[in-house]
Amino acid sequence: MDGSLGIGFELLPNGAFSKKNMLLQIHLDSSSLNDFKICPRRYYLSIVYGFQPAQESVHLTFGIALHRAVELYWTYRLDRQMPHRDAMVEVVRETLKATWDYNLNRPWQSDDKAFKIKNRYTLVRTIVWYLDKYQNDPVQVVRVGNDDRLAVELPFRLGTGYKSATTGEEFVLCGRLDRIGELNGARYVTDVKSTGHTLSEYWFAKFTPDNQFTIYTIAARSVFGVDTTGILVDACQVVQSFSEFQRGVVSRSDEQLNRWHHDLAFFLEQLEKCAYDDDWPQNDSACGMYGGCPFRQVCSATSANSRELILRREYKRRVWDPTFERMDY
Amino acid sequence: MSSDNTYPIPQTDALRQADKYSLQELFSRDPEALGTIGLEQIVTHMQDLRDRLAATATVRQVRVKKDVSPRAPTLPIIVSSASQMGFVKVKKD
Repeated sequence: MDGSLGIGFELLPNGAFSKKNMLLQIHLDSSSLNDFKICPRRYYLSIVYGFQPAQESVHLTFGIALHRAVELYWTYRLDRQMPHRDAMVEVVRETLKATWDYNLNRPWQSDDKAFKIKNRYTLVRTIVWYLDKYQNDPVQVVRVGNDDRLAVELPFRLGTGYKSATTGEEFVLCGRLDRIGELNGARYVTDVKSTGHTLSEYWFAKFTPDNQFTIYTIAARSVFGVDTTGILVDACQVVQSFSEFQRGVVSRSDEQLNRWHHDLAFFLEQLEKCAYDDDWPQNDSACGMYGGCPFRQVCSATSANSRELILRREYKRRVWDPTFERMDY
Repeated sequence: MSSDNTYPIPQTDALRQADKYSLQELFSRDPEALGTIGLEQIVTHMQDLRDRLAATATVRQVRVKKDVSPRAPTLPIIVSSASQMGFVKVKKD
């Protein structure tokens, strides 16, 4: 088997990729970069060709809806000056809409066993409890930019300083920050994460090092000019019978940020080599990590024909374009 | 008011009305057709649930208190000294 799929799938048009080489991603978000760092083959399947398991990820759907709810809430409160209760009711309305299957005219459902814990009911419960808890949030949203706007829902694009050796284009990091706020004189990017695990300092420790939070810290500093030392994480523990919340700080030092940027060059070189050669090696040490790679059965196939069959039967395709809308959670 | 009127038997319409606003029904209804009253009910339900869980947690703490009633079996123990191993030497009457 060579490094490419070697089968009859067309590349889908994607604005994040170079026009000179459709296999080379120029605009990278944390999810894209993360996938490549885990395994070039995984990245090739999920980002370059846009495959994802036909059965949606309950964790992803839940996370996106929770993020969106918190964003909406603060927009209603800060931009529209809505009272807490009114804003919360509107957020619940939008959440129920976002989790309604309009094709089948029924609520969001899934066969995933995680759906027993992360479902529509526990989502709304988590949102109501979270918003009640933080309605008088001591975090004060700061203002950024020349237009002095409130720092909520901040899309960013940030040149890395590294150029493609084959196309001459500069690699760009992109994504979107939830909020930048001030707490006890310090400024932070804020983010919301949901988990089934007990919340403790060990849970927060998993974000250091972490690709996504490092990129967010760099973006806050470089794009929005906010002198921040890291991320304020609102962790939501979601279990069947209750939801619980804990706030923690994930810090980054200058040295850590500089080192990450230095290391980025290595991965971009690898990315470019894979794209130029159309050769995407497997990292077979990562197949069992993170709950198991979603493409394990593809890589386990013994021939190109069976690989194609599995991809057509068990996966669907979408365009992962971080320049288009928020994709990373 | 007669005693018969104190606890009125629910009429069919009343039952239908109550069922209409059950939580399960609210969650299974097309959200485009869900009015503010229904949304308010969902929010209130979630808040009640949290408060009831908090109350239950308090009761549980009370329940695990040691039984100190006079009928509980007792063994008279006098602590005379503690060894370096951390064991407690006891002297029985």
